[in-house]
Amino acid sequence: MFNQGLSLDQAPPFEVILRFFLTIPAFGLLTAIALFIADPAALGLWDAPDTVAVVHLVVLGMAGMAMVGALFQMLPVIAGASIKDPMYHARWIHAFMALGTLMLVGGFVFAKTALFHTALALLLGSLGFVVFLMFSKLLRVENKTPSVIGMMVAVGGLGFGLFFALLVMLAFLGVDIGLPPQGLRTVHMHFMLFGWIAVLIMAVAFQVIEMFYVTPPYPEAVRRWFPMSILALLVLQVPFYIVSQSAVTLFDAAVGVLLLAFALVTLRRLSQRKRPVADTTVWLWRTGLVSLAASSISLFLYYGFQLETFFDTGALLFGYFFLSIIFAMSYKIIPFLVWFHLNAKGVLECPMMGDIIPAKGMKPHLWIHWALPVFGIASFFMPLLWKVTALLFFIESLLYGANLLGAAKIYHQFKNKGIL
Amino acid sequence: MSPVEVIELDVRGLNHPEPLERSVEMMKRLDGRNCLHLQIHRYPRPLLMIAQKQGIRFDACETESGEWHILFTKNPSFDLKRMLQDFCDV
Repeated sequence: MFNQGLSLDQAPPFEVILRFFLTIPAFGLLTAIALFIADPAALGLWDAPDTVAVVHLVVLGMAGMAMVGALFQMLPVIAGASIKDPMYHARWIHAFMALGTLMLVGGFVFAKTALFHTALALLLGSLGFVVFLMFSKLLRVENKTPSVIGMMVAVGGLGFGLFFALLVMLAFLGVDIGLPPQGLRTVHMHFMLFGWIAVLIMAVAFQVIEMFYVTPPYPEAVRRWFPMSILALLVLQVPFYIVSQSAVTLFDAAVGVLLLAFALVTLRRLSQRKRPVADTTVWLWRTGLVSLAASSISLFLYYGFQLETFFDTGALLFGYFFLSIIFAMSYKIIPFLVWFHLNAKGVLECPMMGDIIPAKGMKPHLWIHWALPVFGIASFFMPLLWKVTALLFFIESLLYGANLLGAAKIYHQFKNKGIL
Repeated sequence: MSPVEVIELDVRGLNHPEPLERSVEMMKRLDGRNCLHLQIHRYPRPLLMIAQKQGIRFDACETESGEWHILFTKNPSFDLKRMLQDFCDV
């Protein structure tokens, strides 16, 4: 087989991705502040406004920025689906997402319901457009690899999540939807956390675990069926919120089994690397996958023993899972993109990738990151420890931000020195 | 006509980013008289995009075992397809 064909517009400008990724640590700092000023007793309650604010800062501000930024990069490069004028779209989508998240969180923290209307319009407008744009582009990809299908499923999951976010907000504002508000909220969360974030991480993993860490490929059944099965389970589960709570639990357990299996398969793949040199990104992947496995097991224990602590721990570990993967991916991708774009511009003195975010800059971040769940879980028993958790998260976000900014600075120092 | 100087580079099985970095370093040694023969365990799309942007010609073929042979050159007259036939049964 000869040359597979290339198009120069396959790689979007680095500024597109950088814009989204540099916002992640900024929202990390805000999350830490929101956690610190929150009433520690309220943080144990999932419906408390302070908790809802922190959850949205992490899910929309951190994960949302990472996921949308990653899609801008992956669509053209991995799927071959080019986005017309990516810089223009990235600018307004990013601005709407950031402002919408801030207003939504502000509405919860300061109890200003008037902020919700604008927040909803900004978030639904930007993320809804992301769903439309990305899904329509992916639909037209001829060679639908498992990663492409995974991305389509994840974008579909986001679409469902947004639809239920609208219904939750309408119910919250007093509109009678005809469905129980608790159920609506849970459906919204499930689509966002599992249908969107977990499935997109899967789609990315199918591509990058084998490519970056030189592992055997995932089993075909996992690559083909896991993302679709998760979304199908989430969709089929919806009517059972009205019909039967025990059936809802069965669907939850099935999603948990798939996530646990994904975590174990990926951990196995990482142990089968041809050259097992463990850098910080490998440890972050392992940390995230172990958390995902532990999160699924916590869910099973919750169903077995009906102890709220298992549910809380499972939810906390799920958040820790996707943050770990986001850190792992950004520490791999940002240096690569700096190196790639500088080399493409013909910058002869381009630094090596290992010097763009040096290992000594990533290691302290990893150590702080490892301390985080210890204090997070202990906070359920000693609520004052939320303050320590917040401080750790603040330091972690500072270190992460400094590492990303360092990479961005190198890019800007060299970008005009190319021979092209 | 003098024979083509072929620079050999085998990066099969190396962890990311070594294959890319080593290949780009070798590409800097290309002139009008030589070509680079790269053996790699997967299709290196970013590397080829860099080559394309730098005006370096290339052609690639995949072996039955899923590995790739890629030839890079700055010489517009080298018949890369014919040269690749020695490596892949195509």
